[in-house]
Amino acid sequence: MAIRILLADDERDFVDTLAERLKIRDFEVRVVYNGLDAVAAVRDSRPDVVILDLYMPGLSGDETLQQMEALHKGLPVILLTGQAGVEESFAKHEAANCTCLTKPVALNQLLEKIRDLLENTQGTAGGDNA
Amino acid sequence: MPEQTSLARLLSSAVHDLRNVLAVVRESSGLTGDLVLIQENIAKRDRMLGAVEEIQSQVVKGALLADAMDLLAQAGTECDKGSCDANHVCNLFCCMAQRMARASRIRLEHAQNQDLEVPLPPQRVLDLLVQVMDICSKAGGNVDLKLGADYRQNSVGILVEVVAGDNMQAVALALSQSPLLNEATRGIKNLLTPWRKAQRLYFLPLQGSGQA
Repeated sequence: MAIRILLADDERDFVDTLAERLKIRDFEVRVVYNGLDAVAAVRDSRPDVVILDLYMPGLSGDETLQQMEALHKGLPVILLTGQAGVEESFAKHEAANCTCLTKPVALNQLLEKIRDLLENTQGTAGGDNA
Repeated sequence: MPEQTSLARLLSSAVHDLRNVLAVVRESSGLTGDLVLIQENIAKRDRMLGAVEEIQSQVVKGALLADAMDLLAQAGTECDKGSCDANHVCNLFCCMAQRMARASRIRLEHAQNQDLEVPLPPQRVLDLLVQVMDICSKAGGNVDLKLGADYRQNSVGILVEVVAGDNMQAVALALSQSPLLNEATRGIKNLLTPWRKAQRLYFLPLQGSGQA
């Protein structure tokens, strides 16, 4: 069964291309372009992993994350940002189910994080999809 | 702590966008590579994959430059915590100073040592590294330098190795005799001393104010 990933980022050129690359690797990917849609997507169908941009219009990454956590505690989330040094600001979210990466991220690094999060939270390895 | 200046805020904002641009370049070139890999009979396949690899490599360099610009934007602001990973700063310096170094035919290489936190703000470490490069330039340049932070005799500091080059002797002599670095400045002792008997390896202790 394919791993379901929710991609939330307002940088459409980036997120659409990343989605295509993940689909080539047999992930099931849904893309949204703002925080409100991301929360709605998590409410509709719980993804296995969320890749979330920290700075989006409407609802900030922090608020989006809190609302997602309220819906599904322990939901694996990878926070993506173009602003270096914010990892420390989001250290409060760092847990077994959450990690932060700075753009541009190598796809292999992202896949590794997805695998790690899934192993930590579900005991599920995503090796076949990488 | 002073707030970030307007220029620093603008620089941070621009760097943020630069990282987004690099992310798009990385993913788009990566997708091109993926599609080429899927189609086995595509013309000039290896050449295309080589070009993709080159783009990805340039993105990594661009990301390092973005890190360096962020470091400069944070200098002296509340984001500047007054200490830094000296090896990371050495790496950023090697990246930022490539063009300056090339003018003096100096090639900079980072020693890739492990993370090493020092009680100095990053701009102070950068300042010292610029001084080291200036000494080498004034001595005629034309050398390869390897820079990295490490421990020597229970002190943390920067190791400057004159690795190669036609002008090694003159540069090594200039480093040994440098009046710039053989004095206490800003409360920080900066002794650039040859390490043991290694003629071309120099150690620049990095110590906070009052610890010299």
